[in-house]
Amino acid sequence: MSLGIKASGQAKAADTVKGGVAPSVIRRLSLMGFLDSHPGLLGWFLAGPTFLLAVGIVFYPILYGLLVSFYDVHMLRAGVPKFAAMVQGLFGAKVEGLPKFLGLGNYLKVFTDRQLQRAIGASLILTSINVPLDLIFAMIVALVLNQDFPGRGIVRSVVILSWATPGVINAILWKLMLRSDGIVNGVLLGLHLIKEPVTWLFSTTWAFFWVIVANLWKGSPFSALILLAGMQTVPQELYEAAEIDGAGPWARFWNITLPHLRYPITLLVILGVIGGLTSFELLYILTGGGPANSTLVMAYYVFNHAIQWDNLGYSSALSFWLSGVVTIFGVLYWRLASRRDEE
Amino acid sequence: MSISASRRFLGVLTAIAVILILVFYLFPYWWVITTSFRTQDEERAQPWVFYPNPVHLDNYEAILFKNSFDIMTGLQNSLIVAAATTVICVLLGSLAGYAYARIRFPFRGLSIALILATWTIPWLLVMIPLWVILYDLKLIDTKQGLIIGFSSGFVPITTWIMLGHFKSLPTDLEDSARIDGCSRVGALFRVILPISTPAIMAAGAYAFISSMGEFMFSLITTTTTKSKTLPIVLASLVGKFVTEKTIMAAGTIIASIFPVVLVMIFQRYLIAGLSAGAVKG
Repeated sequence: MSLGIKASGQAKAADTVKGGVAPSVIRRLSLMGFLDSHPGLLGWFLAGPTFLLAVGIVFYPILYGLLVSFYDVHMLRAGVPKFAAMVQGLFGAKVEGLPKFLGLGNYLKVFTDRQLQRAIGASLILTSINVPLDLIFAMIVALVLNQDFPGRGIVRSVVILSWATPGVINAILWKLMLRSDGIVNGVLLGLHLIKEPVTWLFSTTWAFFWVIVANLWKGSPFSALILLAGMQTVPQELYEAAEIDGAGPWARFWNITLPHLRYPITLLVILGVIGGLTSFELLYILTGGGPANSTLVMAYYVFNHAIQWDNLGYSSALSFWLSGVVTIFGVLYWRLASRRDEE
Repeated sequence: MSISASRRFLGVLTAIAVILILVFYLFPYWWVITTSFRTQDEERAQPWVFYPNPVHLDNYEAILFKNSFDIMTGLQNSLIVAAATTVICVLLGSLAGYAYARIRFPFRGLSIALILATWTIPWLLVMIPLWVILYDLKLIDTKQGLIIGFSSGFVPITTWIMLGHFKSLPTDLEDSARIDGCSRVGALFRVILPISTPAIMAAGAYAFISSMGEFMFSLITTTTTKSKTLPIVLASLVGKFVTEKTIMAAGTIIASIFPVVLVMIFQRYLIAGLSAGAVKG
């Protein structure tokens, strides 16, 4: 059998090589020879592992999560529910050890969940302050980097440095600086701007403020680089012509630069909204959701239900709600990005 | 306002902005780097001294040789997990990237679309059930569990980087290797991959950087120092006032040095990849 395959594989390969069979063809491994003559199998032989890893390990958990969302699951107390049992339970079968079937109960619970409404509020406040602030700040940085001045390369590198910092390190850095014996208090005391150390992260207003500052530190460089790339595609003649016509810097920015940046700005807004709605690690480390749950944003709330409060079913339903909203923005992003690629 | 006056005004404005930008972006790094070279007492001294004098290496010594607060254990776990993830992602991404760039096979379009679509799925939707599945398989608090999760998350982008690279290569080299008797897989390993070093490095850098900085999945799947990665170790230390700030500062530097240096080298390749990954949230 294997000999037959080997022979036919080589015969076919040999046919494609004009001018006779090279000697090394004879030594070729039988599997490789076989695959060469069957591109369909070769393709899956090469791409299959990646497909299984990337798609299998994403869609199976999602399907599992979907099943869990229809049940009242408390995994740490009652054990992990089995996939097959939950499918059977869906069709009304009585399986031992199956958690209580709730149907859409978990999905409907969101409308009466007071704490969730606060989490949504916190997410919306954070996103609606962060996105415009990030854009304005990034625009200033990009405009500066677009000027000709000595040491421009160094400034660019410094800006990239904070973008290159992993999100978790960003959170740890600010947490350290904001301790009551930290450097933020140290500098402000030294400048006599405050009289005694402030416990920044224990005040609702200040906690929000510093979350936004830390977000800006890590996020704005990326936005600035995207905007800068956009600015560099604006034809220089337009500025020269406008200057001859007597347009000042502000008029040039408003009438030439900004219209050219419509596309990157839209993308950054969409990305910012997605990032804002799903932000987790900065809040987890910096504020722990506090003070008094004021910074307990949506992703954090989902996380708490799953991990801290052992409420897996409800947490799954919540994450489907949240993901639905995020996916709308994700699809918007991809449609915009791919339309741009076609142009 | 005349043109020259307006230019001068812009110049002054730019100079002020440059200084403010530098202070804002550099200050946290200046503080953490200098603090990592101070002793406890120097760090507490008021008023704050702008640079450490003299420079102390005690914090690094305590971390590297005495394993204070398990920071060194965390670094080892991080490096092992990141290295394994990088090898898996680059190897599988290269094979798949080659297949999608050069070979026609059934469901080719559909399968690559599905692989790339996993980018747009919010991580939360995958992570928590994946955590449950790993819990069921007793893979919680193991490095293997982390490697599985990371590889699955990062392999689409390494595939995409390699796919783009293979598409840009001329087919001549491969053709001549095959005339000399190489199989397609042989030609891939002997001829194509050796000349693809820049793309492999970029894909590897992406996988490595992402692994070193990953937080949420590591947080839920690790429970002891057996598998806790450096970000998790540091995050659990940072809230506690018993931890010395100087040690934390040195730990933070150690945790950020690999990703930051790699990003600076590969920034051109990474901006595209990370902007796509940003959708994942």
